[in-house]
Amino acid sequence: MMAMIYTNHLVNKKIKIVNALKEETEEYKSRNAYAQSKLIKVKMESELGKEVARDSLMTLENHPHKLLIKLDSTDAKAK
Amino acid sequence: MQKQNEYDNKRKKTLRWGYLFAVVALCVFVLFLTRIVILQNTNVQEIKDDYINKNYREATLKAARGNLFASDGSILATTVMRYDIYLDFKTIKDTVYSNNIGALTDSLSKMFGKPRSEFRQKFDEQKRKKNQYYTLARGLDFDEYDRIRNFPIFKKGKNKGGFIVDRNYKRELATSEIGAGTIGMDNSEYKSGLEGAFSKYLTGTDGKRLEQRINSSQWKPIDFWKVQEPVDGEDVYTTLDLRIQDIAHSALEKQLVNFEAKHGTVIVMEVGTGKVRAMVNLRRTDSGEYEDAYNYALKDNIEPGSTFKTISLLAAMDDGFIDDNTTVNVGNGVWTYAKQRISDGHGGGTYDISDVLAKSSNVGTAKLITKYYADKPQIFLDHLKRWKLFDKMDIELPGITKPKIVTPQNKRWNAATLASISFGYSSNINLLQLATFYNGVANNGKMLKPLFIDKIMKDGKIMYQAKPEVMVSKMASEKAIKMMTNALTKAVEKGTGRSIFTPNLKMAGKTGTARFEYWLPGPMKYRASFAGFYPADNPKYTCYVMISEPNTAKGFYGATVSAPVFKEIAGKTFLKTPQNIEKEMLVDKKVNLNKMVEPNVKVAVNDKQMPNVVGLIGKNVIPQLENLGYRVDYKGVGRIKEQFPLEGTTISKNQRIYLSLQN
Repeated sequence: MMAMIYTNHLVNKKIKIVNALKEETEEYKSRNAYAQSKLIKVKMESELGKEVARDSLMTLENHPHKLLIKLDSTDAKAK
Repeated sequence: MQKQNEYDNKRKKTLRWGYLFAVVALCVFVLFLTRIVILQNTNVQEIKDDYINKNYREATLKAARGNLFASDGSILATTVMRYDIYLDFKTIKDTVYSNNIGALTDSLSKMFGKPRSEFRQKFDEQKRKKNQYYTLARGLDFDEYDRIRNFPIFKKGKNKGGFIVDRNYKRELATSEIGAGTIGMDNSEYKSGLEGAFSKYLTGTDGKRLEQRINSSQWKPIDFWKVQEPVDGEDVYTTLDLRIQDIAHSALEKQLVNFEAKHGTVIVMEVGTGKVRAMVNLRRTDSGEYEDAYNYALKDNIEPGSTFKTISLLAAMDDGFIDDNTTVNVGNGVWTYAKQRISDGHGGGTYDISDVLAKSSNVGTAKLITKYYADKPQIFLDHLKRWKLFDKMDIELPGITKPKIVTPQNKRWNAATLASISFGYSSNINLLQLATFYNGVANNGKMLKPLFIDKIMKDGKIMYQAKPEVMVSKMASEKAIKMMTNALTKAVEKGTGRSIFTPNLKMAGKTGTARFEYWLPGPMKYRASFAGFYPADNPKYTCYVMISEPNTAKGFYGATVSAPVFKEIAGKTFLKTPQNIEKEMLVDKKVNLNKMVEPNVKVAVNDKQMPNVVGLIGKNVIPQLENLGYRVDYKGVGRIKEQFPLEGTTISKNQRIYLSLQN
């Protein structure tokens, strides 16, 4: 009888721990999602644009251009 | 003898009492027994249920709803925990309260931006009332909760600090301002957008298990063999590109504010796959701000106006009625056809086919279409049918409208209807369908279904991967598609869209300015549009911009109102991926490299005299002055507008120079 009561008590204790851990897991999951959404927001160009504008910087309107220089010949003499 | 009688009497009396007692005891016993029997058989089920209900339960194991991601893996919508805070003033000891209330109200005042006296007054009152469930704050995020739980008194916890926390799950958008309407919601009352459309994937299946109460708040699971495990929802990766969505959102919002417009829409599609990379719908609220709440792109059928000319003329090009040598005389820009006055607003004489599109001539388009199809309009309409412009689009998102185009079978059809249709009236089409058409032209005539799902994943495994779906494999002949692409490119380089021409990026597109509700009295209402694709010679993206009801005093033409949005989106899309400058463009001297790269003017300080730097570019001048040993303090960006000290003033090393810059 005593053993039964004791094991029951132990089980109840474990359940409490499991429930607390579950809650903690959910909280961590939620924190992760919350942190990710915050990160996405600060990463966005429109947000960055607002931030850098305070430092007198402007976002580019046009993309940078890459000039391709094609050589007609690999000889040293340029044509 | 007398003694015997006395004994008998006493005995009788005693026995009588004994019998009486026995009868009463028997009656009581029978009564109890009856009561027990009655109790045993009365409300048995109710009592049993009550006991079971109080001590056992079938707990629902909530399945986690899947997340909604952008194509690059950024979270769009997820389920997060929110915290409601309540206070039990009865639990807080008077000494603890009086010693810490000052510090607590200070902290709360800083956190919530309210005067500390307000908190003090409320708390004192609740303390007096011994309120055990006072609502302090609702819906706190984790950061706020983490902060508040460490405040004086509260850090003592529930039992000593009276700090009660109620945790709730809430579906939230990672980017609350961007794409809220497109992402939508899914709750018991309302389903909309991607959340609603993909609900069947996102929602998992709840599980069940039996639990027994072990104390007032704890339950233990029982009958493990009967547990039905929950099945979590799947993660849906949408085709939206958060970066392009952000660019489109900010470009559209800026223009809506500039033109005080009622609402606007942008759709960006990837040419080769049909994947919708951005869909922004913004409308003005009563407070004058813009919110993404209603999906105009799908749910509104509109008369498209001039952006429809591309469709009309492609039909004629495909039928071989129109080629590069076709010309049309638009005269003075006014033409009456079937008693309908058609006007361009400008004269022009004879246009070739690219001019008709580039200059967006209503007269030119109507003349050409009526010339070839007036006798047999069905041939023209069959093209539209083939391009699915009569069909409701079969897409994943709900609520898309079915286009309505007036046909000869319709009562509204008259001799002038074909001409009206040719330049974008007598037809009602949603913007996604129009964008899909332009995307088909950009994709060499292969029309692809717009896609919103990229992939569906579960536990790291791909359950579904979207593939491009062909709606029309060949919209028109190669020659017709090429002719149309050239005409649309010309429209940006020399036509109505020339205001957005840039040598940096070759774009093709068509402006559209459509009046609507023209039958109603009052001020004229316009929809300004721009539809096109970029880079024109190797299209990657198609973009449709529509801005409704701009302030006509500020502008209402597609070229003025919508085209700049298109240009900004196109330019910024490639900010991280430099495009090559076409050799041909250099040959044609359309690109002046000297103009593109501002020469770095050398700044020299001779005889300790401040040079004139006004008009020079700040980014060139500032480092030079700093390298010369001066301290430069500047504000603004771009060219130097003002300088201090003025030119010729004697300056010494380490002196501060103030510059004011402006673009």
